[in-house]
Amino acid sequence: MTDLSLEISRVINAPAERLFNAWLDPEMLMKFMLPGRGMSVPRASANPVEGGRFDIIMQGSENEIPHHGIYKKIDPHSQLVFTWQSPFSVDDSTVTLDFKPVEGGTELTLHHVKFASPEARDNHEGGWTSILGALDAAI
Amino acid sequence: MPKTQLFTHMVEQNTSRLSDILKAASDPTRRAILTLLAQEGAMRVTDLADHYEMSLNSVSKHIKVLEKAGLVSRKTIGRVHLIEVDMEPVQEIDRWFNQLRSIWDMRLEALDNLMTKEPDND
Repeated sequence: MTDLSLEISRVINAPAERLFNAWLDPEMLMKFMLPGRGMSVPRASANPVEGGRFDIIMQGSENEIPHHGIYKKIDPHSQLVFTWQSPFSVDDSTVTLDFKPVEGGTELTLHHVKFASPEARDNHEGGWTSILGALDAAI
Repeated sequence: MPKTQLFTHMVEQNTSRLSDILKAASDPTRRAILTLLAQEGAMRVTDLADHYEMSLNSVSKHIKVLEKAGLVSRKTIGRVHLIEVDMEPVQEIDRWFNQLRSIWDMRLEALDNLMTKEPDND
């Protein structure tokens, strides 16, 4: 069934350096960290150092939806790790980006892990996978 | 914008429900209860208490949290009161994840367009 993490990847025809820096640059973040199609990001800021905070204010229909996180690891230009918080996220979550030069550009792999609790993160066994597996088998 | 309203509505509506579901399942004892119910089918509260060597009172507390999240429900057969697992909230988690996935997909697409279709400002 499902685990509390998701992974997607995409090959983008751009050098890893440019792609990597886009995630550290407020001007760029405003252009692609959209909350939905045709929606906008009116404001963004970023302190692009490890331990530095970024804020991305997304515009909903009526309300602003503030997102923020902390850059945990900045390893130019191969890996970027940051925490991810929004008013709608139920708990801490972490996003890991891997940048790999490939033919035709750079392969960007995004891994987003959401945990039910810090306890669940530290205790891998008996996590969601087993429950969901059991529930799935019980259908 | 209709799409914008739809998105915000979906997100707000699902948030408190999802919080209940994830909180309910964040406790190892409750996860064990859920797993047992999924494997064994509906059980009496007293049997659950016996199984985990817990007091009826503590099992009842856990069941209330699971019930609030909609992960278990009560049913009565004759005079026997049973607790059974409910699959529906699990689908809610699936939907939430699919939504999250599609948002990240869209962002990577936007990044792709930004990188490849706009002049390099560097």
